Order: sequence, then structure tokens, then C-alpha cells
Amino acid sequence: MKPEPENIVTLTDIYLQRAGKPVLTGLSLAVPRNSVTAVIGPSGVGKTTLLELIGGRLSPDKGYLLVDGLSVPDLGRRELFALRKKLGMLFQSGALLNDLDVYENIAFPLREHTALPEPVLRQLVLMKLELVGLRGARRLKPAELSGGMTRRVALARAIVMDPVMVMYDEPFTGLDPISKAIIVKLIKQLNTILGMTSIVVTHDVHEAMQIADFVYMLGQGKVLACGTPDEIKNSGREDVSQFLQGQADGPVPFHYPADDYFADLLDGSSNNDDASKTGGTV
Amino acid sequence: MISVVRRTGAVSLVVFAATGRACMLLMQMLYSIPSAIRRYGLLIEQLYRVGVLTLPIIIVAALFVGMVLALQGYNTLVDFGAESSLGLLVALSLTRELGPVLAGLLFAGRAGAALTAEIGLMKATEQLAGMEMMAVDPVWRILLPRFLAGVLSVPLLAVLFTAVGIFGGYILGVDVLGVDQGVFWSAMQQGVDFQQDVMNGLLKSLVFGVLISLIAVFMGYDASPTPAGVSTATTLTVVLSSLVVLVMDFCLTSMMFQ
Repeated sequence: MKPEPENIVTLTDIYLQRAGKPVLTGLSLAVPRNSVTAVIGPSGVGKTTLLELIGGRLSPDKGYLLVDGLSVPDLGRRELFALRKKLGMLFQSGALLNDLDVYENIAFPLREHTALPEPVLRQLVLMKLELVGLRGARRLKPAELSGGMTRRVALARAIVMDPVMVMYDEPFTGLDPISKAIIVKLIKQLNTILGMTSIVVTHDVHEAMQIADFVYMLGQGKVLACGTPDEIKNSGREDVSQFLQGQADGPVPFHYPADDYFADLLDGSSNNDDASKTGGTV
Repeated sequence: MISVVRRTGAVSLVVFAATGRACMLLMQMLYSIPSAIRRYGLLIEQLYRVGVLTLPIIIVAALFVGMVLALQGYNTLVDFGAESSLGLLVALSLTRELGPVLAGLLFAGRAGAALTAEIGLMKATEQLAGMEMMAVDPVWRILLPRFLAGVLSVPLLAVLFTAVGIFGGYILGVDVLGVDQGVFWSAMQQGVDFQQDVMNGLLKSLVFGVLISLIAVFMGYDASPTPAGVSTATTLTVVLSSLVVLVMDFCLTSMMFQ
């Protein structure tokens, strides 16, 4: 995929191994500016790894990775941190700082990177809190927030520096339908209001299709299908249909790879299953 | 036999690799000290959490250690009619050995374990990863203030331990056992050398402070991001810090007091 100025992220032929296992095997994709791009696919397919690569927390073994015109693997620490100031990231857990209340969590990046006077900082924080509908919860501690509220506070923190791009790691996982709808609305709304780019990594197909301008489906370490939500739905590929329709068995097998079942049952030795050897204590 | 050699080799590799990572972390923190000085508020906050909150345990322990020293010392010295040296015995024991060593061990148990658990939990809950993605270096923002606070606190706590211990020895020796007050203090004044005893004791506690604080922050930062990982790291901090304090105490003593 060619690095074009209208693409904020370009990955070309990316290979990556983790713990000796190949995670990405020739992944190529591009994220257009000012769009909502969804990256979908089954769990463990390398979606979060993709975000870690874009954010410079991991380096690919092979391939080219450009973010906002910069080759991320070649950046020094200072340049990488300068790039990260322009990016926002919403973690699945929220990753809020437990010792700080909601207000201070959102003010945190501003306090670290700017010398804004307190009244200006307060206004910025309140504006972001108002955007996510939690201005009234500013003095609550993270432990007092529900899952949906935690995600919204983390979202407010991710956009407080007015980033050019926000990456969402499983933003809908574990949320009730109302909270899910709120997050869907916020992602779409913020993308339009703030004129930024959004990358949504998720396995919630319905929500992804609702907000995405462009969808990539990953599988076996590479892109299986890409296009608009309608193009993906009508792709006709078996593995894509299995995922979209939530079928238990298909090209993505039900069983984790293992030795022959009967041979395994008849094998008298229990050495391989010894819990003490595999670290299985709770 | 081969499996024993293989296992020893594997353990040694893990230990050497961890030591290497700890040294790299130390270098990274030392490199960041100038920028940390600009944010001295972070250091002061940690000095309170790491140092001031350790004061109660230090004061209580020191008082009782001083009293026990005086009691045991008096019972031995009185047989030789040398109870006038009680002040000297208490002071030398505390300044040279017990002050730095016990302050170090208590610090490792209270503050070291807390530092490891805090940093390990921050890692397990993605707070450190979140900081990195906000372009805030967790080594500079979280680890360094805690490390520096530990390095500065241990010598101060050791001095305080020694002072309170001597006071405990004084209460028991003079007020309870009847040693003359003037003799108690003058023996101490004559026998304790500022350079040889006080400064060497202080140097020991500084070394212990660096080692315990480094072990504590490294174990937390290097912990597996799981409940079991954090718990293992916390245990290792206390065990390793205690061993390192005792081994280093022997090494330093043999160099300082030949």
C-alpha cells in the first residue's frame, strides 16, 4: 500500500512475532485521514498488537510503518514522544490513574505537557467532560465509576490534547447496551466535531459497521477483507461470513490445535497435564 | 546431574538478565535526574509517603532495640565492673551496625514492598502503558521520584534510628539500671569517632538506600502484569533487599573497619 498524504497511517508488509509465534504475517493497510476506520476480527488475531505498533510500543520485525508521515520504528525516543502527543489512545481497561479523581485524570496530560494557567486548564477539562456527559462526575474516583463511565472518562482524557488521531482498543467490550450506544455516538460525534481520525479495534461487528467509514477484517496475521461496511457484508468470503454471522465452526475452527483426540485419551501418562508443571494453581 | 547443571544455567541466565535490566533502569533514572529536579514537588510527595510514613515503625523499633542493647550490655559489663562503658557500647553498636542495617531492613519491609506493589499494580492495570501513550515517561514520572525518595530517606531514617536507639539505651541504662548520667555520655563522647563511626554508618545506609530502592522500583516495573506476578515481585523485593543489606553490610564493614 502506497504512503499517500491522505492516509494518516500506512502499514506495508508488516511481519511480527511474539513469544516465538507469528502474529502478523505480511499485514498491509492504510487509514484515511478524518475517517472512522474499524479493524475487526476474532480475538487473538493481532488487532491490539496493530495499535501497539502504530503507537510505537512495539517494533515490527519487517515492513514499513508510517504514522503522520513518520516512520515509527525509526523514531528516537524524543521524536516518538512528540508523535504520541498528537495521538490519543483509549485502552480497553480505561487505564485511568487510580489515585487521581476524574478531573485530575483528564488534566494529567495537560499538566505534564503544558504550562497552562489553572483557569484555562479547568475550562479545557470541563469542556471535554461536558462532551462525554460527565461534568457532574468530576470529583469521583475511578473506583466509583461504572464500566461505561470509566470508558467515557478515558475518552475525555484521550482527546484532551486535541489529537489528530484516536485509537480505540475494544471500546464496546463489557458494556451494557446503553453505555455501548453512548460510546458509539461519542466516537462518531467526536470524529466529526474535532475533525480527527479514529481507528476502532473491535470484535463487536454491529457497532463497528454502524460507525465505520472503512473496515478492515484481520485473520491469520493479515487483512482478509477491506472496504466499506456494505462491501465487507457482501464480500462472499466464508471466513468473513463466519465472523459476521457469529458461527461457532467454520474456517476459524472450534478446536484449538491439538494431538489426535483418541490417542490423547488412550495415552496413560499424565506428565503433560501436571498442573504443577504448567503453573496451574489458583 | 545434567538436569541440575541445566537448571543452574537457566536460573543464572535469568538472574544475569534481570541484573542487566536493573542496571539499565538505574542508568535511565540517573540520566533523568536533572529533569526530575525541576519537578521537585513529585519528590517531596514521595519523601512523605516513603520516608515520613516509615517514621513510626523506625522510632518504636529503635527505642526497643536501644533498651535491649542497654539491658544485655549492662548485664555483661557489670560482671567486669565496666558498666561505665555502657553508653559507648550502645552508641557504637547503633552507629556502626544496627542503625543502618535495621533501618534498611525495616524500610525494605514497609516502604520497599509498598513501592513494588504500587508500581506492579500500575503496570497490571495498564496505567504505565497509558502514560507512555500520553507521551509521559513512566520511568521519569513514577519510578524516579520513588527511587530518589528511597535513596534520601534511608540515611535519614538510619540517623534517626541511631539517635532514638541511644535515647532508649539512656532511659534504661541511666534511669532504670542506675548508670551515672555523666559517665554514660562522656564514654560515648570519647569513644565514638565522627569520621570512622558516624560517617561510615551514614555511608552504609546510603548504599543500602540505593540498593533497596532500586530493587523495589525494578521489581515493580519488571513484574508480570498478573496478581501472581505482583505478589511474587513484592515478596522478592523484601527477600532480596534483606539479603543484599546483610551481605553488603558484611562487605562494607570488612572494608571500613579492618
